[in-house]
Amino acid sequence: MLEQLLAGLSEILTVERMLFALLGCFLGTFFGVLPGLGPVTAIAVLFPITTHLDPLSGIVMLAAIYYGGMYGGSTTAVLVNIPGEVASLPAALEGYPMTRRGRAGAALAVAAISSFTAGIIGSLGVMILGPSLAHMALAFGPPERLGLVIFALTAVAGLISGSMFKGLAMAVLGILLSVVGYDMISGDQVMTGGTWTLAQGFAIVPVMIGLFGIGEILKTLITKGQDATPAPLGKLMPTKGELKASAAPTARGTGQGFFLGLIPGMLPSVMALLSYSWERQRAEKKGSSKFGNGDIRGIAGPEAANNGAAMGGFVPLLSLGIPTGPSMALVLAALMVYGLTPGPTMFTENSTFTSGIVVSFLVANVILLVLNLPLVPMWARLARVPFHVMGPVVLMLCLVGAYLDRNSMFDIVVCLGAGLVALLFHKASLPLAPLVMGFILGPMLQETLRQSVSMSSTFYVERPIFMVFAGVAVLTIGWSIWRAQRQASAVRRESEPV
Amino acid sequence: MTLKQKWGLSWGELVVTILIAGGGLYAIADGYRLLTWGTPAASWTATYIASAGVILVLLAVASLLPFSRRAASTSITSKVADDVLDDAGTSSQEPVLDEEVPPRVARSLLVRTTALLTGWVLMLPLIGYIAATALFLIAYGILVSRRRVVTTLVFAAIATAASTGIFLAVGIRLPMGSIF
Repeated sequence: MLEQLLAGLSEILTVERMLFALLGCFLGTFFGVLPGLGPVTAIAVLFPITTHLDPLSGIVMLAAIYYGGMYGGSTTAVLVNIPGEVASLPAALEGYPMTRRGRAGAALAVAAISSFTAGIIGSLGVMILGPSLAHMALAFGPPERLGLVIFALTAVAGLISGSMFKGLAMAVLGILLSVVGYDMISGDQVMTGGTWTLAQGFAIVPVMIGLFGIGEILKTLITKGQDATPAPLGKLMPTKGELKASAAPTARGTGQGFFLGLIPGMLPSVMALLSYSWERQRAEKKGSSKFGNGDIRGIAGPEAANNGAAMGGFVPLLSLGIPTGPSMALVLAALMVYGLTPGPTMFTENSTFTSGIVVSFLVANVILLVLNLPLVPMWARLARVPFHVMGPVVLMLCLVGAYLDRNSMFDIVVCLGAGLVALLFHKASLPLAPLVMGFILGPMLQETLRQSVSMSSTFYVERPIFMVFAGVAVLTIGWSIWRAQRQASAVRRESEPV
Repeated sequence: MTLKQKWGLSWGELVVTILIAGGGLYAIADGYRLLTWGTPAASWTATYIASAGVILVLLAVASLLPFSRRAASTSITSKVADDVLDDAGTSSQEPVLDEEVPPRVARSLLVRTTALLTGWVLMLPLIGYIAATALFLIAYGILVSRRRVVTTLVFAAIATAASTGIFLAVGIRLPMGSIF
């Protein structure tokens, strides 16, 4: 592992790549600080820019954007009580009371240190677990890969969306969108309506930018701006007591986040909230809870869990080619644009490059820690700028990003259309994550299904690993429907007159 | 009686579901077209998209079931977030979550933003990135943000220059117009 680390470091530690990492951290934090936008939007908007760099520099910048986006949300949550996205809710609940006591600096430092620790341990986890999983996956044939895709799609549809039917409908819609264009086998046009424009198919980049960039920005534009008055930072250095109190929650959050983050659908934001809930229960049991009034444990645990889950998601992504949620789907899309195919060969044939990717996570974490704390006052001021000032500029970045992929005006139209559709889906409580997963995994599903059927028409009862994945997928569907029905009955009982 | 009062279903929800089901029907029709008039090699793809279409229509209809609609608004993330906020009820100050503006204002904001974005898309091939972006930002500042003209002009100039600078710094060739 040490050899891998050194090989990766030698690839990454160049002046040019460090500058890209710095720029990525800065831009990512900028997006994270803007209300309503988080790491997913930051990646969606900025990854087309990174595709103009060489693949490793692109990945370095992308990793820095991702971590910057995550840290930016916590900054505004702590300083001005505006959690840009759900994952930063714990930081607002415990960080803002600390800010009011003049301990904002310490809260931000603990958030940064916890994230940093989880990022470093998580990166090592990727290096240890990734190759083992990749070697195991090398034995997978088409039926096993098909089972994995079905499992990933149902897990995301069931866990991320409240309604399994809606989630699966969106996944199938994504799968159908991915087949628009020329059929790979016959060369016939599929679902194009006979138009040449649609025959080129929907490219990943404009669709992603539209759904997660334009859609989120339009959603944010129609929200009320909040008046936020940042409080003074106070001392940046946490006290010995604060550091001691945050050590165990950081360790727990890292472990919980990393291992649960390996499962598709267990998003970093969910892990941050679960960690907050668990830390609160633990403190209440001990009788030492100050939760709700600025308990440092409520910042350290969730921040570590958030980053740990983000790192955990890279294991199935890099070793199996399976994203665990929207942000990983975007990273997968970026890797595909760079010409890389995530999967077992990433750890066997491209091991030096993959080490470079993992080291880039380490580097991004270090840069973030060094860069962001001194810049906190600037981010706090930026959080006060009304979104309708920055929003249009970000919209422009999105549309140009969509154009860059193929220099096509059609892609700009697709991007704008996808943004409006995303807004419509939001209004109808339809989740976007399964749609994106279906769109990205669609070609793999089609190919593995075709190969599996060609191998044997009864493959589904002959391959035990496929049967396990399919069984878990069926259980996930059953559990989601049972959960929805139970919830509906509970609501009905509550609304009935006593 | 509105649709919402009768079935607890909003018009938006119904329209989107019908559109999704329509997408499924289109996939079935295109699968049939490929099977009938396509090359023999396309039969597998035809069956694949037609099957996906059937599943999509069934799922779209099932998603209208009352328990499914109710569950849709409570994803695991929002459920855990609600629990966390409920537990934090003792907190002296709850986090400020963004609220939507009144529907009429939101509609007007959306229409104006979309119209300006469409204008930008149409102008881009004619006048190029720099001019189209500057014009878009000026129009946006005056018509949507309702800022002062001088502030808008200064902001448009700075934002256009900064974004152009970043794109050029990473080696991106921006769209040039056919007029300029």
